[in-house]
Amino acid sequence: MKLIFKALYNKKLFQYGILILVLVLTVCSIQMSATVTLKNKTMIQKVNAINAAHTNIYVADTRNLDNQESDDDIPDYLSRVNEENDIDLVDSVENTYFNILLAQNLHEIDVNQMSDKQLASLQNVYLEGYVSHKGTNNYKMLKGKSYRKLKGNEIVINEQCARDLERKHMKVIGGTFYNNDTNYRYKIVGVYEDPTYTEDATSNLKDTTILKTDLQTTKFHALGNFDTVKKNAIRIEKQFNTVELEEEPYMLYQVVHKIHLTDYSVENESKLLTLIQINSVGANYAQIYPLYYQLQDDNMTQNIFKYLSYTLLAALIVSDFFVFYAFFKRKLDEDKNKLAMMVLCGIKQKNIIKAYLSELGVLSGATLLICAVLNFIGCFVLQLHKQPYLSMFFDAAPQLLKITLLLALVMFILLGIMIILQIKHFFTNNLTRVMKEKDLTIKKPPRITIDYKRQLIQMSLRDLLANKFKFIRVVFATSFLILCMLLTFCSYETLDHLYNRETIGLTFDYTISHLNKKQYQKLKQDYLKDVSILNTSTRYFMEKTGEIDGIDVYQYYDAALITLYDDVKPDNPQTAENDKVKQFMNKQSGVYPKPGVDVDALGNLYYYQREALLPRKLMELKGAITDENANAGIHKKGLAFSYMPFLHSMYQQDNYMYIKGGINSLINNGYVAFTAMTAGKQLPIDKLVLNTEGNDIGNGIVINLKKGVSKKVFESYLKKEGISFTSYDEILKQMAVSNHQINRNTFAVMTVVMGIMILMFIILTIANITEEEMHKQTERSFMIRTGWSHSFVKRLSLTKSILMLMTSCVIALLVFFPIKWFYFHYLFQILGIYAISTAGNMILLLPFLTILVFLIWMLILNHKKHPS
Amino acid sequence: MIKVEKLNKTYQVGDKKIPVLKDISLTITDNEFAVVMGESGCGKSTFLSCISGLSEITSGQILLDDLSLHDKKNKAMEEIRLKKFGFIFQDNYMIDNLTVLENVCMSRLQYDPNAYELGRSLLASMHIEQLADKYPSQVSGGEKQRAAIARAMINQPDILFADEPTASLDHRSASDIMEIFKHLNEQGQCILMVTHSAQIAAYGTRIMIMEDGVFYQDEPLGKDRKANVEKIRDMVKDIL
Repeated sequence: MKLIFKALYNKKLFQYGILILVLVLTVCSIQMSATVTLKNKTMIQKVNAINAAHTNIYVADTRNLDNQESDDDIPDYLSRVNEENDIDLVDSVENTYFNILLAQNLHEIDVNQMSDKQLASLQNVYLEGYVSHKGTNNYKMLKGKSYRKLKGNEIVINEQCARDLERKHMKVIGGTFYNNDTNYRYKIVGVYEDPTYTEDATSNLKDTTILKTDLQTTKFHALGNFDTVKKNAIRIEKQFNTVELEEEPYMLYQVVHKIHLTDYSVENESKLLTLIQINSVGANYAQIYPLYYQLQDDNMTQNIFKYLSYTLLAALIVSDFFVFYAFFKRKLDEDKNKLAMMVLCGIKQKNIIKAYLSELGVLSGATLLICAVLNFIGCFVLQLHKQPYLSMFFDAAPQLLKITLLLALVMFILLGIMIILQIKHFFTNNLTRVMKEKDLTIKKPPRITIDYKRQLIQMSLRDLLANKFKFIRVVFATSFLILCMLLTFCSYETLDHLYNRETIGLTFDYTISHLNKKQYQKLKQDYLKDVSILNTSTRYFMEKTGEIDGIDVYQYYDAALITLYDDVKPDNPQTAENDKVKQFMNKQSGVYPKPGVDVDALGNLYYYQREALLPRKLMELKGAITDENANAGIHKKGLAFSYMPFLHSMYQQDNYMYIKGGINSLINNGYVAFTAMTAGKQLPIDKLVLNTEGNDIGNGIVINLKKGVSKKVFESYLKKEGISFTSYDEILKQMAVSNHQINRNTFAVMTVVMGIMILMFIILTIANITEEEMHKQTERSFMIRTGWSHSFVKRLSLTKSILMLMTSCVIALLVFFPIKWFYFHYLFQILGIYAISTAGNMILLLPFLTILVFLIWMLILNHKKHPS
Repeated sequence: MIKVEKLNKTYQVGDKKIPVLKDISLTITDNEFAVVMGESGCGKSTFLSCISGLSEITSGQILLDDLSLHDKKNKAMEEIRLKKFGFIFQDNYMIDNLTVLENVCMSRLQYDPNAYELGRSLLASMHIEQLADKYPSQVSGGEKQRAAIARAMINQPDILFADEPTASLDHRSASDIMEIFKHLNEQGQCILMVTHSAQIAAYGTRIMIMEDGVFYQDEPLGKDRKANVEKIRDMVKDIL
């Protein structure tokens, strides 16, 4: 065997380097895809690893619970669950909860000098006194002092908060936080890892600058010294609430139940929450924060990442096989005489195959070694798995590494099989030919006449068509890569132009605010066609996920409910359609909702029979249906869809919202509903005057101008009157900027993915060209010896490569158009929208179209000249 | 002993079938030194590759010691190539990064740890033992061809196939090589050789003239080489 290895060994470090690079990229890509696919699972695992709570239940005031005699309160119920073991094992810890809202380092910065953008980017931080029971919440410290050793005003913050400070170039360790109400400062002494928050708070396209919703639970948390936080919380309580001196401060009655499920799953968590709501009275007064909220939050970004990582993986795997094919083809061509002689001398094929496979073995070993080193550097030196965005792509959890290794081995085995088949095929076809330099198989030459003028192109074409298998192989691989690049570019473009008239869901000319009644009447008379007030509130979308003893189990999605208040009666009340809604919203399916009233004749809140339009995210992704029936809300496919507050309350049974149709909207990550209301006793005009919330859409007025009204004139009038306004285009622009900021890391990742694909494209092209050169070496040298010019022979090779490349481009383009449809269908599903106006920049396609035209022209010309 | 029965070999080009070997039947016995001659393209090399199991046949049978060669699976063919066949070609195809001795012994080393000893003795019998540790680039064409014969003989094959083994050598070297062949044949080695040269063919014990895929003359040769040359020239004067 040693001699066989020695006989077949060629020192080609550069080629081996390229092959190792390609394999390393692929193994990294496998790891990335595994990370993206299993991220939710790993988040759960991370939570389990530190024994942290999955579900947090905050009870604001436990005093009422004491008055209840018949029912269990939450802790009682949870202990009962533990004893009865109804749903796995629940480990519940009751913590005294002192929640203080902190502002970021505001005392160090002059707020007046901060831009709106900077102000908007400031996030609140929740500080709580840390108490650990039964070894729960063993947070891992990333930097500084342990949260167990905090003294005085020292606090530790979570990683997301630390990164936010770093991004704003603020001090992390040694920095201070500030409580506005008490002027109390807290010093940051450490940073801990919080596995439930792996992303920036601003991600997921939940644009808080556009919609003021209080849905977002902050991802910035801090832990303080228990006694200090308690003391300060009581101080705040006493300062700002009327507390009788003899009465215990309200804060002391707040409780957080941190629940850890032994066998966590979204279904188990939903079941537990349903049981808590049904069986314990405390749930009516509690705020519940299940872990599955965090898992839902990542949905869109994660899906985009999934798409990207899978595309890259597919491109790399296909390239791997073709690059290896080309490499071994070339190697076999180089070794053909040796091999033939060895086989004829009786060297067993098995031993020759072993020798080649050992080469693959060495390459695979080197690849795994490099990947191990990269993982080591990524984990222990750069700590990439702790970066909010990069952690979505890169994680070195043992389970992920196992999967990566397994898949990599499968790939190596497949590559090995391909090499074996290649060698066997070579033996079958080449032995005699090699020995006599004579082809004993007779091929039918392609019928392309070679004339003087176009001999270069015609010879190249003939050469290409003479070896159809090779031509198809090279073209397939190259066009697949080009296709992947085009699709990635399309995703980039789509995400870059995500916010536009079609995807916002609302269309209007301006939002205005800060105007009085007189100004409003003047505007209405002279300029405005349609006016509506927008109001946003929090609702929970619920999906039935199961049943326990006939009781429905729901999973909830926090969503924004955007209400359009009509200030005039509908044109035709009989049609029950709200004309104002029509003006501001482009319905995709179903019917417009009937306007409800929010206050009845007696001034009471009125919730009955409200109807809503839902975005695709809720309509389609969760299998919702548009029901035009008056009994909408009766569900099909076994799913119930409605809006109701998550917390059980006296209104809960009547608080359903019927689904009437679908709308394209990305606001609030697609978890949004639109409804229409006509105001009851409270006139809209009063609301207008009362509205001092600013010029955002939420709590603002949206208007459409009358036909013929010049925007310039209108704007100058508003300026003159001191009415603040924002045009729709300006809002779109702001959204685009904000989107770009939110997705900057995604774009960076996309650029890297594109870069890798381009690199693979170059490697593949070089591999194909060198393989061709090797194969044609004798022919080329013969041509030169017999009088062909060097430049002609070079041009011949070049023309062949260009022709192959052009054909690949054309095929990629031809496949691109039908695939694009499926691709966008999938992308729209990920984004939760029906359509997008800018579906990729088509300028990129121009060179491909030019190539297509050129090729067709060439074929026509050739056909005309040689019709037979 | 190799027995060929109604051997046909056809190539397919589109719908058209091109016959290359037509109904060939013959037997080559163990001690023969059979020489095939014929004009270029008559099918000599195809015959050699079919009979040595390198190419598939269209119909007929090739029997090696009464066992059909073309029924054998790859593994069995490998075994036959290793132990029963030896090949020598016009180009010696020595592997550059192995020494002459390593080139000679490589195949036998698969099953015999003492292969080098036999290799050295073979090189000695070819009078090139001093080249054992040299690399192919350091030796002449004739020496390489002798080494190639040693390589072909290392497994002590039943039959030695030689396809124009002296075509690229000068007259002197060619004669030396043929003397080796003759010597091997005298020791009982069966040889089947393809050549264009009557001088070279005259070393054989049997001459077979091929034309258009058929052996139209098949005669024994005597020990007098000059007479053999005359006889062969006479046989091929119409075709060569």
